[in-house]
Amino acid sequence: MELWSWLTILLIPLGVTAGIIFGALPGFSASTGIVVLLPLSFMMTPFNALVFLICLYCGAVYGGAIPAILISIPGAAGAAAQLFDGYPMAKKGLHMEALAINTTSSAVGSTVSILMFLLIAPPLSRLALRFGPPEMFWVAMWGLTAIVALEPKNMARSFFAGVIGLVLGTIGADPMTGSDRMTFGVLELYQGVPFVAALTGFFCVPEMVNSMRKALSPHHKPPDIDINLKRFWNGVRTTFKYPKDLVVSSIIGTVVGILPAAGASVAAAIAYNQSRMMSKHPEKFGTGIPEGIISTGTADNATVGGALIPMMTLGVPGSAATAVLMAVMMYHGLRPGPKLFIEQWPMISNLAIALLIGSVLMGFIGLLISRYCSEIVRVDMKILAPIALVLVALSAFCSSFSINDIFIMLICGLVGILMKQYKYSIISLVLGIILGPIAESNLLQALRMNANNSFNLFTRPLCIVMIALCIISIVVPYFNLKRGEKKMVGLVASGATPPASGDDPDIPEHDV
Amino acid sequence: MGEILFLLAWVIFIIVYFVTTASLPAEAKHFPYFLLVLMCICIVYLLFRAVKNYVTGKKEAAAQPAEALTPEAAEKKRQNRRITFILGFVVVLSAVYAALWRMIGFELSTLLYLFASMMILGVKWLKAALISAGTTVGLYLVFVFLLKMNLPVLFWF
Repeated sequence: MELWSWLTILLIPLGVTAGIIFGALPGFSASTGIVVLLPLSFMMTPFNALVFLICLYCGAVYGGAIPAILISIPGAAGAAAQLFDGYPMAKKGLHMEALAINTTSSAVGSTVSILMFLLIAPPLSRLALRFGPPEMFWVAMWGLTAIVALEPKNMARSFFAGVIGLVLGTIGADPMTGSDRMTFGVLELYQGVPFVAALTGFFCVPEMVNSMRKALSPHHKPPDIDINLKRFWNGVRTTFKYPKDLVVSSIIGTVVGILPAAGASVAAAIAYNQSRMMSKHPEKFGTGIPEGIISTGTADNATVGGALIPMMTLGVPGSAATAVLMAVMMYHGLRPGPKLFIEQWPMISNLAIALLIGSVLMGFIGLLISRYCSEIVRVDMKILAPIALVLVALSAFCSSFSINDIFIMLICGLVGILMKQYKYSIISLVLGIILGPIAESNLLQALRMNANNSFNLFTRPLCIVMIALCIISIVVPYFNLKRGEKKMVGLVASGATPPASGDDPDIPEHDV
Repeated sequence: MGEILFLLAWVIFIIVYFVTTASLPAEAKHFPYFLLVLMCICIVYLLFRAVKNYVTGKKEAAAQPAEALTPEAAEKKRQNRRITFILGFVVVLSAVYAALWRMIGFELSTLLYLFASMMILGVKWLKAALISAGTTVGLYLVFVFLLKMNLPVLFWF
């Protein structure tokens, strides 16, 4: 069995360690890390590539909390919740306790979510087998609407970005007639926009440019952190004194992770609130207490297993990292979806076991390398960003061995920089590229099934459910935003100070 | 104004998309035309909103008395311009780097690119030279020797 080969066993800790380092580096995220190390996976078997990259994803989600706790700069959006209690605890001089609690709870959250993946994914994939082309078209649309709804303030911009993504997804040969669309004679575009080049361009180039901008700022200075290992084990022991928080947050994280677009930040916020409601001393939340770190750390990492469920069973990636992972799977000839579970069940189950090992190892590796974390967050981006740009160029090139792919990556990068500048959602665009071909081929098949009549797209029972989900995913966040605005107006009118905006420029927007 | 120009660039993209899809067989037009309609609705709405914001901003600026720029604000503006120029240069350098792969090979172009970008970003020359050389050698060893990747290399050892 490939799982027990020496290479796979070696790749698990390597992936986790690389992920922790990428997650801890401000400006890098799970998706950036996966893309940067993508060329290494091209030389591996599909199974080993997935083990390495999913372990990297798991490690990066955890690693994002390290700079959040130490220097109040979250490495990823999900880790932003660590600012509530992780950073205040570190400010009290309890860095090591905070890091240890976060490490232990993240490992628990990740382990529980993978177990739930093994429990939920097979029956869900059996249900998904009942989905025909009309339902699959709406599943793709649901994935997109859920992502669009992620930014209710910029819904029109996100929707436009999603549509542009769908348009870019139509580039290449038409699935029915084979006629080429928008290729302009570029050979590399006949099979569609190269996934890896587009992903590296849209995700990594804007992030690197942003990191360089921050490093060039005259006000930028590397943080100074004092690491003391004396109280480290106290933190580990403290975590297990709160089993209720660990279990509840793990479940919340997994369930929220399943929902497309909800992601780690939402899971961490819900788990934090739930923990506060369950606590005997809710007034202490926000002052640097263990429950606050446990709930956010556990839920944050529990989204990993949850996010893999819709990606693997329905072929709908719910986050930037799973979108990249899905592209990697497709590159290796694996098509995520219900059939994957039937045709590749031994591989999927072995992958889950590898992830379980990775989750446990993540705890140990995290505990071991925490002392070096202060060095990680001090890395000079003036040096690291150009090296990362070389690596992403290599990623783009090695996916098809064409230099034109590097130019495609650069064009996508330029578009990505402008989109980031004007607050157009990059993840909506990328999901559009991924879901576009799925939506188109299923739409055309659905139309053919019914002699070009679109009636069955709206009348089949499962289609109605999916349409309802699409509408709910747009309408609910919109009304929540309106309700929030009304509350804010009320607060201002009563003279109270409104809470600070959540738009933190340091948080990578795509790492949902 | 920047967003208006950004959206106008997308208008050109939509026109090009329309022209290229118009020549497709009728069967292949369904989905692209559906997307064209969506794009047109979005772009009209977004352009309208961007122009409205621009006009409102102009009116508000005209209504307020003109204030002299403080030295700090002027310095900040100058710094921002300098940073944008540097970053623009790095992006141009990246395009040159990609073009150089074919001409002088991966290893030499990587060495030059890393050294030039680090120098532009303000890294000391000796540090930049050492890191660039070290990184290039490392990448060469990993990708060419270890992974046997078919990179356009100049030197085969």
